[in-house]
Amino acid sequence: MSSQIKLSLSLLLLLTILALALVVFMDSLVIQLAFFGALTLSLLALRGFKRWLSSHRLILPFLISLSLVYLLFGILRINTQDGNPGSIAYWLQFGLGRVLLFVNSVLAFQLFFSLISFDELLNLPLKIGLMKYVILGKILFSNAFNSFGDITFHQSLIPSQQRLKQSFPQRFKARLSAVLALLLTLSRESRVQGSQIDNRITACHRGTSVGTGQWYQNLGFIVLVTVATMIIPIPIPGGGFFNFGDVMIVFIALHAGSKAGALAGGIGSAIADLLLFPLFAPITLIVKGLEGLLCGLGHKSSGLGRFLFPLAGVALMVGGYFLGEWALPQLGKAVAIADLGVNIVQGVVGFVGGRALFEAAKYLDI
Amino acid sequence: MLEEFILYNLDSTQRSVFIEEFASITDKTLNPKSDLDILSGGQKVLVMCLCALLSPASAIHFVNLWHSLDPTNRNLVKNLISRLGTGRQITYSEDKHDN
Amino acid sequence: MIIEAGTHKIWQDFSLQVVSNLNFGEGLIHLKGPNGAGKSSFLTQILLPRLQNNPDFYSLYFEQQMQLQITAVKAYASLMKPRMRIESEADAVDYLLQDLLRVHSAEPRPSFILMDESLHAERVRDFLDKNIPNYCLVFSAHSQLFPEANAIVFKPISPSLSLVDVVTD
Repeated sequence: MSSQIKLSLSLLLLLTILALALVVFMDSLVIQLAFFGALTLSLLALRGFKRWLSSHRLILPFLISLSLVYLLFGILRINTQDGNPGSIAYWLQFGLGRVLLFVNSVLAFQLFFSLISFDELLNLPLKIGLMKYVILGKILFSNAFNSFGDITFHQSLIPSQQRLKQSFPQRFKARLSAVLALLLTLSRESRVQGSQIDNRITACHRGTSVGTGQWYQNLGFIVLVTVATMIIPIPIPGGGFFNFGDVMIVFIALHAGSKAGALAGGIGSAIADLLLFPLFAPITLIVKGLEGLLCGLGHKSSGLGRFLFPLAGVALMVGGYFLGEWALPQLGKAVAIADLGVNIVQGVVGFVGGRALFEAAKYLDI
Repeated sequence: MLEEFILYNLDSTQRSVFIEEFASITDKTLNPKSDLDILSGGQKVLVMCLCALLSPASAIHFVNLWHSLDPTNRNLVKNLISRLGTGRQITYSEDKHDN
Repeated sequence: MIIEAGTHKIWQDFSLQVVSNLNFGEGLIHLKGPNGAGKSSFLTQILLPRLQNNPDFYSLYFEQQMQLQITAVKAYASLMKPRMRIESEADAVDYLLQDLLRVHSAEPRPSFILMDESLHAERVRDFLDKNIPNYCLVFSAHSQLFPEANAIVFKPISPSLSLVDVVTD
């Protein structure tokens, strides 16, 4: 089967599942259960039990806290959509439906990614101006995942890291330095590989202009945010996972400005969400894009601006997610509440970590 | 491998020539799905040379080419360049420092 | 620290057969053998795992290709106090040695320094002699860097097996 046909069919399948499970039959518990069964069986067949299980590890804490919030709604007899107080039974049943909806969205995307590999994109009839993003993207993602392991290895062998009893700030800084090393590596790779790609295009594809180095610098930033969001998923009580995505967004915005911050924040985070928590992806695209935009206003300003704009940016992120999740019918107020605490922690860590990286950058050539 | 074919703008004829030439030199048959990481350093240099020589580029500049090849491969590459490099400008440069 | 005699499986298709117990105590130990005999694998897959996360020792590791290690150290040195700018391999090596001195002064432990065909062996050895008592420097090199070192020889028997033994004078 040609790549184009395979890609089109897989995309059609995904969109159909999403339309049915997330929109048309959103409130039908029976249909959600049916989808859950079908998707689970398909994934078990395609991926095997071990991989299927590991892909659920990350969403489990979030689902647990979400269920607890619905239980709380029942205990507090929160009003339902018709305005009447809801019982525990009502909210638990409603909650189960929403939890299944969430899981089904994850499984649907996992199915899609099982059918399609990155290399299929290379077979598409894209012009070189677009294809270069696919080629460089693949190189940078693979480089990032490989490098991070080596970086943490080398840093663990720095003598100060071998002392026992390190305080939390010390351990946080150590993690941060690994992320910083990744940033350095990827910045260099995107520059070297990107300019090489531009050279090939100029020489071998006459008539295609390459523009400035902005495209590969921005792509490097996008990959950095995606990887920073995905590589350190530490599940925390309260749901979701703690990651260095916002640290990266704050840093990139301060270092390179609003456009880079918005692109890296919005697209980079949304890609990570598609791979882990797809239901959040549309909100993420907008909210984290705006976060990057706002933080980036600190790029050209003075000391106070470099403090206030990132602060405003992360505050916007927390508020944006809360409102967005509350408003989206597939998520709703339970999700908004379950996620609020996590996002506040993310925001604080992002602000502190991002600014720490920005200070450190004075000692480096990025 | 496919990425290289795309970047160097090799059409299907040129891709076939590439695969044939590479196989005749190394006894390894590559295809578009091949992962280049399994190749040795010298073989990777060969891939780059062949791609450049078969591409539509009108000028090729090799940096540190001879430095990165052992004597056997050096002769093979010289042969390739003389056969496939006609009609375009080919230049070389080598860095002075080692490592 | 003793590496026991016996067969140690390193990779799916490669093992090292240690003929007699290998003793890693204070002093210099030279790993000898041709390329591909398993010296690097011995360092990273047998020795280093026993030293990492071990509260009894400090360990340092230097590779020949230091690019990624330099980046890792560079990032660390720009965030941790005392902040330092790292430009070259020599800077990174110096930083690591100074850091070892810092932690050693606060809490002395025997120190293992592993060097895999590193270009900085002499510099490192000089520093250790002056500043760190009780160290074990394990290095692989093709030349006779330190004649007084004890030697361990790696001898390839087949593509999937190498013999490892102490050289007795």
